[in-house]
Amino acid sequence: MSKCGRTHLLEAMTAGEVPAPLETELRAHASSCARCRHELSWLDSEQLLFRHRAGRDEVQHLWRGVEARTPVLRRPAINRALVGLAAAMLVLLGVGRLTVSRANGASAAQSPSTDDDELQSINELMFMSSEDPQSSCSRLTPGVGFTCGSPQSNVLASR
Amino acid sequence: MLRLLQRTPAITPETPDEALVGRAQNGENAAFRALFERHVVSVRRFLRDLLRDAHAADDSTQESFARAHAQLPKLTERDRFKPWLLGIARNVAYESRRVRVHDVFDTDTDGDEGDVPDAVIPSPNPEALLLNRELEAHFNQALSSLSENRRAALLMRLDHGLSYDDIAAALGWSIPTVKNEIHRARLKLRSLLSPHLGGSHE
Repeated sequence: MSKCGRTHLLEAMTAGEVPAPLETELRAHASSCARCRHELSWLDSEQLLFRHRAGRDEVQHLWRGVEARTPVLRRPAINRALVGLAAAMLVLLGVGRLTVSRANGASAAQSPSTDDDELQSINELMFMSSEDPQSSCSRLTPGVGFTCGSPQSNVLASR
Repeated sequence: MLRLLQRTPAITPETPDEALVGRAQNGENAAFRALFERHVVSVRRFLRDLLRDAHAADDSTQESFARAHAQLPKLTERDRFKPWLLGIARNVAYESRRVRVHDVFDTDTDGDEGDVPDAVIPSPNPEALLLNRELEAHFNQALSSLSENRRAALLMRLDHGLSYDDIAAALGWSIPTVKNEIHRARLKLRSLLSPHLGGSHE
């Protein structure tokens, strides 16, 4: 190390921590001071040795290990804007359907239909299948709870 | 809703660590991934230099980033991410070393190597610095001969460009201790390297 008293300044200079005017001054001094020149040559050499080793490693595969140890990082990155947009669309869709169904209900009330086919389709919708009326029935014993063997009669009886 | 629809700024190489840390603290995984991309080479090399084992270095690198992610909310000085991260890496290396069966560390723990007389170390020959495999091996061997703490401090300064303040914070030392350790590490390194650098006395 330089006994000239400028070692720490030379060291800071090679680390890029001194302003340009001071660097110029130090380099000028080192050219005429054997001790500082010796110190500077070592400092430069150290920098060079370390720089040569840098940036040669292949490390991208390590990310998988980080993810494995940090489950939250495995979640796909979801754009908040997209989430917001999707939520807005769902709300609009819901409001739209509600409006349409109300409009349909109003038009249906104006022209009531007593068609048997329509009643059949409603039954099918209510009980899923008209071919096997027992398939969607309650497994409770007959007379307990809802039985679907004769839905129309039950519905009528309840009225 | 408007806040949700706000566009997230793109991450570029110019995006400072400070901004990335802030975004990662808010749960943006891409920001943490960018921090990983930016610092993984340094961390991995630092750990390899400390552990002297490629597999252990890989494992410790992953563990360091996983811990960094877990502890990120506690980081208040966002502009000091790198020293903070290297501090974590150093702790991970320390723990990794302890669990290894064969301790191949610390061939030089008494700290007296710093007393190598300055006058006997010749100046390096610049031409000899054209790094070849042999010199690289000597360099790595010289680094390995330093005690772990001293090596960590030297690496943080010379290889990773940390300031003395940052090293002191990362290692939990005082600044005078950091300076002293690095000074001694340098003297040892130079005394071991000078025979291979074709040095001359001035």
